[in-house]
Amino acid sequence: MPALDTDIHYLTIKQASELLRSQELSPVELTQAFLDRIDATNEDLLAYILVLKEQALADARTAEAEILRGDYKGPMHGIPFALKDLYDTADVRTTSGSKVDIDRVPTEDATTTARLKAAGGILMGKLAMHEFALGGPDFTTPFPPARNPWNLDHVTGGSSSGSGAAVAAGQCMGALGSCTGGSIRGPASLCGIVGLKATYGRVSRAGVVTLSWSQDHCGPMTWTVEDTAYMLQAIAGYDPKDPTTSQAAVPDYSLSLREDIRGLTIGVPRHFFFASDPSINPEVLSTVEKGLIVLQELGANLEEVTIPSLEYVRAANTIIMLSEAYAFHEGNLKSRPQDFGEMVRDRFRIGGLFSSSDYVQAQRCRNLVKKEFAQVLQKVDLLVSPTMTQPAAAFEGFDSTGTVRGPSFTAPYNLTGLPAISVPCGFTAAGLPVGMQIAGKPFDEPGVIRAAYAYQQRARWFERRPPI
Amino acid sequence: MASTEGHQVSLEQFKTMTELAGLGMTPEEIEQLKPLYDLYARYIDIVHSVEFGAEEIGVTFHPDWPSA
Repeated sequence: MPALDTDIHYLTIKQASELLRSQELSPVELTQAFLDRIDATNEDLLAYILVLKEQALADARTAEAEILRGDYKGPMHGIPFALKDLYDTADVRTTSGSKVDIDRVPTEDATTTARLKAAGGILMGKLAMHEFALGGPDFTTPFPPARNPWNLDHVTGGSSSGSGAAVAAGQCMGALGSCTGGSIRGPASLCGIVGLKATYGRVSRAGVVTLSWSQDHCGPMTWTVEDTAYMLQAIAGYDPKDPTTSQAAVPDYSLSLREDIRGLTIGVPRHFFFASDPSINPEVLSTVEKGLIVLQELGANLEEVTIPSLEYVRAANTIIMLSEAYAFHEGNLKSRPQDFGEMVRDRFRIGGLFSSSDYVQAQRCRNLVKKEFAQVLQKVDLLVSPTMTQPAAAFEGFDSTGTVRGPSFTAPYNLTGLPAISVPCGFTAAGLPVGMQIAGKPFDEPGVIRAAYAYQQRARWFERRPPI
Repeated sequence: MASTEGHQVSLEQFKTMTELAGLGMTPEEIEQLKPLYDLYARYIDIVHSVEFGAEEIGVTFHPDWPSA
């Protein structure tokens, strides 16, 4: 193997795939390097709740043989990835981070799991998550919360908590998260990585334990935008097992990896995302402002836009989410409530107390929000904002009700189903990452990826790694 | 964020709500959940504060929605 100018576990998918294809690096060596990295760091990070060492090495040997005989499958071939523990994995325990499902062993892979395997990916293990993809860090569930690689005393964000921590710390090259109100972009922002929630219907949800059918999205979390494009390519597309997936053709996302965004018009809804509000951190805002300047320097035109219905988003997203979650979990919630963690049990119970009128009214609000976004997106190509209102909070004194009180910057895109990505755009004075959110028109993942890639190549925050 | 405070219920009313929902909660659990419910109740007020008139709910979601 040639000398590498970086630790193997910090190679990107792009870098590793070139070495694998040219047979300068073996999938077995690569997989072993990641197993070593997991061994060295997981006691502190708690990102993995299950490491599939033997299976991963066996799959890596298979990939090695395939590549050696010239059967190279593409950029994911031989790449170590991991899954939030609500993605079904055949014959491998899938817990959703809950005692309720502690012994649940699916018989089939989720569609996305199967697609990554078919692309040649090496499944390293299952990742920590907030129980049933809701709430915050809860010490009353079977698995302790994952910790932020940039500062172990801080949370990762969630609910794809282990996915954020594992990718940031070089425990895998890419992970899948799921997102109902921001659970991909949130931990991506707080852990300093890239997270993409594609358009609703672009990626199958089949075999992924639901929180809220109409707002759940699956998507990749990686170190770079380029790597996100590769993972999305492997998982996107129609799936007969998921009736909400679109039959629209999947474009070649690698064509969006170019550093030119001249002429794009970017809308900035300042009245909501940059408001003077005590629940919004000024350091986050100033960091994202600098990101906007970079986009402008790259040739984009910034235009302030107004979307009045944003003020209804948190309410509608939450009522729909908890109502649908209650419908799914009602049986277990009534028969074995003690098996839920305290945080999720409380919130699911509240879901059972909303009325049908509340749910319908929330859906009508949702339609209003969708209409207003559609109108704005006829005037601008993309929308940019901070991803989160705050940097990663400390575990000590963590307020689990904090998110109920303030606005959500990510939920608008779950409610509308629009594609949105979080890309790192700097750090706070305390060294915690800040993410910038770029959203686009339905199925315009290429546009979102293009802007995020151009920004990342110019800003180059990916060159800074966490101290773990 | 929009905020109203109309949808407040008493502890007794809240107890009745949990019973009607069949949640099977103990009195202690009900008392402990009430403050959290009060927080979430703001959301109920917010979604009911929008006057939609007779506008129907319509198709709530379609993967290929392209326009207003």
